[in-house]
Amino acid sequence: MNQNTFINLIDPVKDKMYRLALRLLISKESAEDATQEVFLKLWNGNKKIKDYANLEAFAMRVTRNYCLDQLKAKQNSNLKIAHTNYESKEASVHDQLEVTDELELVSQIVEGLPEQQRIIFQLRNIEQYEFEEIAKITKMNETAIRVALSRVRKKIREELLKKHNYGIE
Amino acid sequence: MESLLKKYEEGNTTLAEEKQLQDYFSSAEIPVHLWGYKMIFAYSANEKKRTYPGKIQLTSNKRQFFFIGIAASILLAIGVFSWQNNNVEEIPEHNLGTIEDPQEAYHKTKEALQMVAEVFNAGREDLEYLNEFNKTKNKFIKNQ
Repeated sequence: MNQNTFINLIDPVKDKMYRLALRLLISKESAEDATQEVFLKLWNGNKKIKDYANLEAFAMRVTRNYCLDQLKAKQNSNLKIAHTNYESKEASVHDQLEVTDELELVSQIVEGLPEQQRIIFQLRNIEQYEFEEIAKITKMNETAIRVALSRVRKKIREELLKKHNYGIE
Repeated sequence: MESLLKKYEEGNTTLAEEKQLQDYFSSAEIPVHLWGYKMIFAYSANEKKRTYPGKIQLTSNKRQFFFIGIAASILLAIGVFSWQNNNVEEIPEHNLGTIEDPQEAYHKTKEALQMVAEVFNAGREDLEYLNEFNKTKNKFIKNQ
């Protein structure tokens, strides 16, 4: 396989990979670096990829694993991943009672979720993968995925209502 | 709709059903008690618009940095080497032949030697104490 073929294959997946990395690493820079690293990993190991039909699931799986490793490494060295993409941080401190950007509220709630739940939320709610595909990416069984998904969806809505009520009172 | 939402929260909806919900919640009029769902769907749709900002590169940046590092250290080594060489040549050029007039050179030399002698004598003055000590010692030795 030459470089062009590979790029053509990976191109439709690149945004999904980046979004998954962003969901896990939160920092835009780290997510971009991680995605780039995964491209390299996939390209260097491309002779081992036999099942090109499943390249997408494989690429997503490698992305997931790479990001989880990154998080673990940062945790071990007691360093937090620096992220500079809190554009509206100051604003949200000022209007904590009336959050102007309601989507920012959802974003904060999602950021606070455990890694596994963030992955499931990302893959199903945002990327709309079938459960079968999510199972391939996460190596979880479908029942476990459904349970986790249900937990996430309930949790986000509960948190939203809690915060929303604070805003009203 | 309510039963579909219940199914949704249990994680049992199909993608088609979720698409149906997505369409419903992107319409303008949503009952207040369903606000939370509306937010989740709006957020999900919004997040899906993000795109990877970079280009797909299949060569590692690390290797480039490696070669840049080697090149930089070679340049640095050459720089330090030639700078040192220059310095060695410069010292005799500047320190020799600064006094052209022989008379003046003679005086300067005399002055310098005088200074050396003074310092030398200052050292010798201290030796007087040693002589004093010797005298006393000799007295004792002779007396015995």
